[in-house]
Amino acid sequence: MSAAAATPRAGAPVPSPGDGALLGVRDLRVRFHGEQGVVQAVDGVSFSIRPGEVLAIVGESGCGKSATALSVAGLTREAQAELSGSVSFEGAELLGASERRLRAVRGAQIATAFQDPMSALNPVQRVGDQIAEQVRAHEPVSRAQARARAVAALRQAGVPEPELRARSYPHELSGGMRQRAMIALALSCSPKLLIADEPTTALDVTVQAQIVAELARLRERLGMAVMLVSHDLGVVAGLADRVLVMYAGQVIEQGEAREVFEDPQHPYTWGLLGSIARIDRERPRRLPAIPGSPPSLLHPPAGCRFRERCPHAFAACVSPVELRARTEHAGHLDRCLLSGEQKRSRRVVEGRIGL
Amino acid sequence: MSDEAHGSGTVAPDDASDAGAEAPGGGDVPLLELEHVSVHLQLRGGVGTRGGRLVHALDDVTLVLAEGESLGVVGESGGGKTTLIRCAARLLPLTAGSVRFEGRDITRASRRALLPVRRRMQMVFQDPDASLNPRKRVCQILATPLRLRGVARKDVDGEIASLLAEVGLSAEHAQSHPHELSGGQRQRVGIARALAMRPRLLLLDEPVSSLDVSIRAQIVNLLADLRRRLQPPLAMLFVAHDLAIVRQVSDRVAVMYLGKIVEVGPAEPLCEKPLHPYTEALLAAVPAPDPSAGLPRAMLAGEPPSATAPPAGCRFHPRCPYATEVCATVEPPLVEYPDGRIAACHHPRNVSDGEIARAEVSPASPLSAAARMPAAARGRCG
Repeated sequence: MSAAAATPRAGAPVPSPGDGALLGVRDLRVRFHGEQGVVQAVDGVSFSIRPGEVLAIVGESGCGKSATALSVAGLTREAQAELSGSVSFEGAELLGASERRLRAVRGAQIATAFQDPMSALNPVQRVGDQIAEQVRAHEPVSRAQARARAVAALRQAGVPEPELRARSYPHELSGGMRQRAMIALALSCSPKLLIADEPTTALDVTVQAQIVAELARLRERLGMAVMLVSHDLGVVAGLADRVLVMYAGQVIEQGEAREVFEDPQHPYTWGLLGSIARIDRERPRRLPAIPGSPPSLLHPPAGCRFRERCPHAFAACVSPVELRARTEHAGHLDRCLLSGEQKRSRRVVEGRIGL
Repeated sequence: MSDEAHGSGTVAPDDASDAGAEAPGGGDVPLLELEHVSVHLQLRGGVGTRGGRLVHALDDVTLVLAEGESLGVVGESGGGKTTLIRCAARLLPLTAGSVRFEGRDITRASRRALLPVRRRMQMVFQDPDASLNPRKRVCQILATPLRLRGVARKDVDGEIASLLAEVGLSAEHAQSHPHELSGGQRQRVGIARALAMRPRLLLLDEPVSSLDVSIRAQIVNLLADLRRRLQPPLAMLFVAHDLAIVRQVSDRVAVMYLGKIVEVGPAEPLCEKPLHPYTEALLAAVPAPDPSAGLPRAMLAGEPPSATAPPAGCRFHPRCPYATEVCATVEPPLVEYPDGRIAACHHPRNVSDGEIARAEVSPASPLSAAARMPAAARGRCG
């Protein structure tokens, strides 16, 4: 099934895409046809990213965050995937674009870095050669120039002794170094948007801190925008300008990072915050975490999708809840019907935010 | 416990045994004692290499786990955490030192002699996918240990149901295959399987590292509930790289770096006022879900050096922001401070000169370490 052309649905609550947005996603829907039926992985997601902005997409496994990121990169084009909505990059539509046009954008202007560098790097090609190959695919430079660019990219990504590492094979590098090599590969053509899908999940905390610091430094220096996908609100807190919280294929809360962390509106966001073991707070007897597991996307529940796991659910939650601004901040949207006062009192568990 | 601890017999606990720290509930025989344990592994040479390099996976480690205690072991990959757990279960031969479980020396016990011991210490692995047989239903996975424990055939179903309830799964999950469960549910099955033997010690090797934060929190809560609920209390040796998680589940914490213990202490003070710069760095690396806190501090550059050629002196000195000349040449002993905390550092943080003056070399200190005490307090105190 091919990607349907841009058909933004009227009435879908779309945050103002803003002028000069680098990336505008409108009412993105991704369905996968599987053996057991149709999985609605992404169900009407809209957001935009401005140049140089870091947007974090946060949620549990299977919430559609990776499917959203991959669709933006044009990487969900298998036969069993069905896409609709609109993904525009610098004003040009990507969703129905030809493979050739996509190839010109991908790697050069939109780069991707994934959780597992071993699956993204070619195991039988030297790291430097892989980077040089990508540079030459997008820019008319000589082999020697491309190789020099590869070394520079490795240095930029914080790889020590980049000349030496450029001649290494991926398996000769440690986990953290591989992650840096992949970031170097992603950055080699100076992209305007970096899509980083769980870039630190498989790493030790110490290496994770290094990679997060590196991303912050690169973003500062290169001015690129970042779409950061993670299951851990802790990891994105220091980096993100804005946060999008996804649950069961939908955005259930979005807003400026500070608002989402300090004044979270949706109980699911409270639960994600409560799940984090905090070293800077007193140790609770139990973490105020989320009970149960996410619903199957084969048959998502009607009404609020989080209802079945939510201890605060009430009668009205059985009918669909719209994503809209419910606080005084126009850009802070959520899908929870509790009143502002109820939210403020119910989200505090043992002196911290939790569920 | 029936036993034929062969080649060793019961060894009377001697002086160095409770060196790791004051075990709560002192007086009784500790559950698990590792004494000056070293594991050096011979690397196989690859094609075209000469091979034969020695990895110092564990170097002179002394640790004691009391009955019902939860001890967290934290450090980066390659620090020796997993080797430590494998030593405790005697899955690896020791190069030096001894392991005692329930007061019995099992250092050289035969496989046969280890059988009853291993029933009483059960492992939970990082990757439930790799540790659950994909072709078996959950009920079959749980029935095997139950039968080994001697549960009568007619009682197995009931036991399975109560085990599933114990770990927060419903009875219908008994009929599922592992692939039909989520990652968190699979890890619950892994824990249920371990509990089926009614162990006294759970050895948990990075049990939550591959899980989502939300599921990680559920498993951490489950472990805390089990410890409160089970009688007699279940002891745990919990290995992870994230100090925030380790603190949440542990009474005491041991910090490891390149095969050595660098700090041991009760979880709260250790996280509040770390003595060792490495502990401090691990704490700084934990991200806070708070945008105003800024980025976690990447205090440590790079990764630990290779354990095939560990640095001389303090193994942490090449990455330590406070290292001086002495750190490069003299291995610091594990020093016990008046409040019971233990650390191996020439320039400890968060201690006063008075505390240093009253400190003593711990009996858990490596035999190779110098007797040199820290000269003066360095870090901020209080």
